[in-house]
Amino acid sequence: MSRVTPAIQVENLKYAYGRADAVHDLNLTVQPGRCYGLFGRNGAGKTTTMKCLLNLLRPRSGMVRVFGLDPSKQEVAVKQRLAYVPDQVAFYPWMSIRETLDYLASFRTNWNRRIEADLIERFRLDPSVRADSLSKGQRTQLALIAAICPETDLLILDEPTSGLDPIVRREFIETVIGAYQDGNPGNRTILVSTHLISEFEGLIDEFTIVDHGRNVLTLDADLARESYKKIRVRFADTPPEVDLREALQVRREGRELEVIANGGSAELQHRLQETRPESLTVESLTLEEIFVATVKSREAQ
Amino acid sequence: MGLHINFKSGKPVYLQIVDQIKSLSASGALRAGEALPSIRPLAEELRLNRNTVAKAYTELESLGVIETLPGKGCFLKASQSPLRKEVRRNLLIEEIDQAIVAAHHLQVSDREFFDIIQERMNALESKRKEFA
Amino acid sequence: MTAVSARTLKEARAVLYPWAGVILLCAFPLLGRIHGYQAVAIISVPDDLTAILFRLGVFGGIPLLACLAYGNELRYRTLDLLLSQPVNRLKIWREKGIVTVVAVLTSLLIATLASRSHFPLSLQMNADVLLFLIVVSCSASFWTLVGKSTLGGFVLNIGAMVLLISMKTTLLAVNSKSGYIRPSIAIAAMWVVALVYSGFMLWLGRWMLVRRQSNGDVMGPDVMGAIPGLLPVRIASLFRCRPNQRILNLIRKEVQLLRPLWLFMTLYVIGWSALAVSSLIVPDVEDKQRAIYVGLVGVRATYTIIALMMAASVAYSEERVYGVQLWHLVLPISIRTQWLIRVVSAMTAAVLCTIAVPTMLMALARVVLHPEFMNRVESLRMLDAISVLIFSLCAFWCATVARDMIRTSGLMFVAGGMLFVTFQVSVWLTEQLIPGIAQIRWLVISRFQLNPGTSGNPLGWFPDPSRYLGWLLIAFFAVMILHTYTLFRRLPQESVLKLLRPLVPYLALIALLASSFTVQGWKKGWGETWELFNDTETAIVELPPDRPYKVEDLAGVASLPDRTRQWLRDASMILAVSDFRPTGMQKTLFGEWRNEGTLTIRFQSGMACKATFLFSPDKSPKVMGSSWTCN
Repeated sequence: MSRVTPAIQVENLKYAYGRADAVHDLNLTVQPGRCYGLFGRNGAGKTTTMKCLLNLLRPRSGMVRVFGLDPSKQEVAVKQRLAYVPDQVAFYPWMSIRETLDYLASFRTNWNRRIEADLIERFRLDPSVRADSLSKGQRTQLALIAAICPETDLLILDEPTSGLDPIVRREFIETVIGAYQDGNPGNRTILVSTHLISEFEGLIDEFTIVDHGRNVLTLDADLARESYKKIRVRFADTPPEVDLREALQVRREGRELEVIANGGSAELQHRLQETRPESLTVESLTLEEIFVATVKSREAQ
Repeated sequence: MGLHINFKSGKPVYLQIVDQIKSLSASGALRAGEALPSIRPLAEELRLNRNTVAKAYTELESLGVIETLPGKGCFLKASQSPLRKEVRRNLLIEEIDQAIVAAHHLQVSDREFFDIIQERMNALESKRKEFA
Repeated sequence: MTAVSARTLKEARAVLYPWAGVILLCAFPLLGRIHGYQAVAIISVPDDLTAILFRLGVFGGIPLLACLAYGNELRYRTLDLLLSQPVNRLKIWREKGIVTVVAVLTSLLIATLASRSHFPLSLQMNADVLLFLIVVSCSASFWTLVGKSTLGGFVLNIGAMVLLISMKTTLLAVNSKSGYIRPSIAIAAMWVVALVYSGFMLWLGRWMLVRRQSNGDVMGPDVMGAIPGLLPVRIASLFRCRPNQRILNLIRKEVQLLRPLWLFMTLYVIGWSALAVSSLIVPDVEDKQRAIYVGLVGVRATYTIIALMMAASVAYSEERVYGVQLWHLVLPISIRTQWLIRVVSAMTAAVLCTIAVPTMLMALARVVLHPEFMNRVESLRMLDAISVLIFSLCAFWCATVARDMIRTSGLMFVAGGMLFVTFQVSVWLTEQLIPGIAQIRWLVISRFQLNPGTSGNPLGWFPDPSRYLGWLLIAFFAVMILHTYTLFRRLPQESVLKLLRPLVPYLALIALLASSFTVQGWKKGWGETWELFNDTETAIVELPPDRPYKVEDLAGVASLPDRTRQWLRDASMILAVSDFRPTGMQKTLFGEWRNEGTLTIRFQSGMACKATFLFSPDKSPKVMGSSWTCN
């Protein structure tokens, strides 16, 4: 079995702002062709990690590799192979959309004119309009066009849809799926850092939850949804004491009990069944619920 | 296509697509020889990872449910009776399971449950005879 | 504390640092006097520098201060937030106005005091300057709101002032030539018009604030943006980015980012030309012509300094305002290329704006107006090309650290101050340390009976820094340029400490240089020479020659300092005497000396010293002029 170079590989990354550790022993591996989600609260270290990938920040220790290359040593080569959509999108105000795209195209070795024209039409943008007259949504769309046209193997998105209206958000995701992913199905890798987890739920293959600069959980999305379960139990009377130590999170409300568990849900279910409840339902968790449960249970500790 | 992905079901997404297409075909919503949406538009519509949809289609093809004609697209294959029957049976089993659980919650005994089934079957039969 | 005073204090606090800076600049002539000239004299051109700083403070700092009240709000995008508070807009206008008035008046007061001090150069703070400041301060709020930033407001304000001053000078000149209205009435009329105009501008500013509507985020259309629309299409298309020309695109981008500078330069050209043309209309009276010429020179000096600062820092400023300050780190093109283009653009823009254009303008004036135009004026010592380059290089360095035009000016000022202080402190420290070091050296020599060197000068071994000064300076500036590359790669910093840290190596270098030059100075003027040989010679001539002596023998005949005694211990000395027969020049210089002595000292370590000197028993001191060698 041949070892394929991971698109992104981060090992024991450590970065500190002054004396406070922003990122501590972070590990991340993104295989090519996958869509990888980076979830975390504000200030958890997601943006810091991305900045280390782009060589905007020099890590204190640890290894960062993009397609096997070191961003601090082969900067231009790494940047040629990826496209980045930042969370605060800004352009030179005097440039029209056409000129902005021409300007950015001049730095790329490859630029797909056909996709550019398609996307401009799809987003109903007027190429002669100046960048300072664009709304926030249109600016994000322009940034996305500029990121897709060079047909890079890696797309890095930092909070891409925050602050956008629902239609623009949908179009954004559809464009990432269609224009970007479909362009080269096995080889297009996406790393997205977002708070709007439910929106990207269908896109994410694998994710990492980052909390206070550390990896808390790294899982394949389907596997995660399979193993995280929410058990809702309703009792005829006040809920009895049950051993719920495998649970991640327990919530009691009147006669009802809500237990979130990962993995050990079968034993929990069995134990709860033995108490002869009035009703017992089991359902899986969405990625957003998994995120909330994981981070909250850490905070409880 | 009326596909709906439930992220709370715990079932892998691509399997949900496979099963839903199978049941659509079984229930007759999709007819043999009819064209399926291609991968990209379906992925965009459901806002799913393109590779997930591709995986579902590959699975469906290996199961013999669909076939890809190069240059033309994906089409539902001619009906496979045993499969359809299997699917239809499974769909009914799901419905019946839900009814059983409901009966248990509503504290209807098994004996009473069977009686009700018989009663309802007779009622529907007589109704059908009325309109015959 | 009421809400009103709390808000006013907050307004005051926002402009505190620049306020302090402007006051410092205006008070510069006073500072020099407090410390006397001693401290200032070591720098080569104190008075001119002081005058320049003072003028900068008055003509640049005070207008800038006036723009800050609104400029700061616009910069931090808090103006809309402020206007959404449940406070009457007029109250806000009044509070900002109060703070601006107080700031301007205090600066003005200090400037007036400073100008009245007994400073060698005259810093006229006359009625004209006062009127200028009044009009500028009243117009500031309006222009800042139009220009959407402190920088924009400042440029527009100064630009408008230049035009107004040109108009006023021309009109007054025309009037005085034609004698239509009596001069005193004309001046009074001008004052009235100016004050009415100021009132109008104040009202206009108030009106703008009241009707201001929030039109979205920062990237709203700005005044600068309208200007390219005025260029003809053929030329404008030169500036459009093309998909395959990355280097050219980068250059185009730099040119666009420097737009405020081009605007400022255009205003200078118009204003200077108007003033120059007015010299035609003015009758050929000595006073009036000279006033115009001095005005022209003054305008050029102020313009040069501001234009240099802008050339170095406006590209960074604009990028920061637009939010694209990280682009150069993210684009797939080497950062070195982008840095190189930025350095070259900044330097070229600086040279173009401050040397090429004014020189061409002057040449044009000579051709069009009069071949001897401005020949008769003893102009200010203008910065020539090298000074311009050096200054703009320093400004560029500061701009790369600070990334913002106002912070760059602040940093330049602070850096200059720190360098000056370091220089002084190093000099002082070295002066304190040298005698101590010399003492230590003598101690060591006498204790270990070492070779004292060919001259009595304890610092004779010290290399002369002025010989390598040229190379040092070249190396210094080369390092500075390369350092900007490292700084260019950094993320923009916010904290003051982080802004000052890159200065440290330069402070160390200045300290080293200052010490070296101090040492050199001491070396040259070394008065005290340890008269090692003199002591020995004075003693040994009392004894019969050609006989070996020990230090004890010498000590019995003359008093020997402890050091000499230490040095001579266990050594054997012999004196050989001969008559001194001077020839030629020596006769006139040294004719009175009778004998020539040769002293040989042999040490236990094997070192031997030989000294030759002149002596005469009837002279006092008996001994003179020895030269010696030791091996």
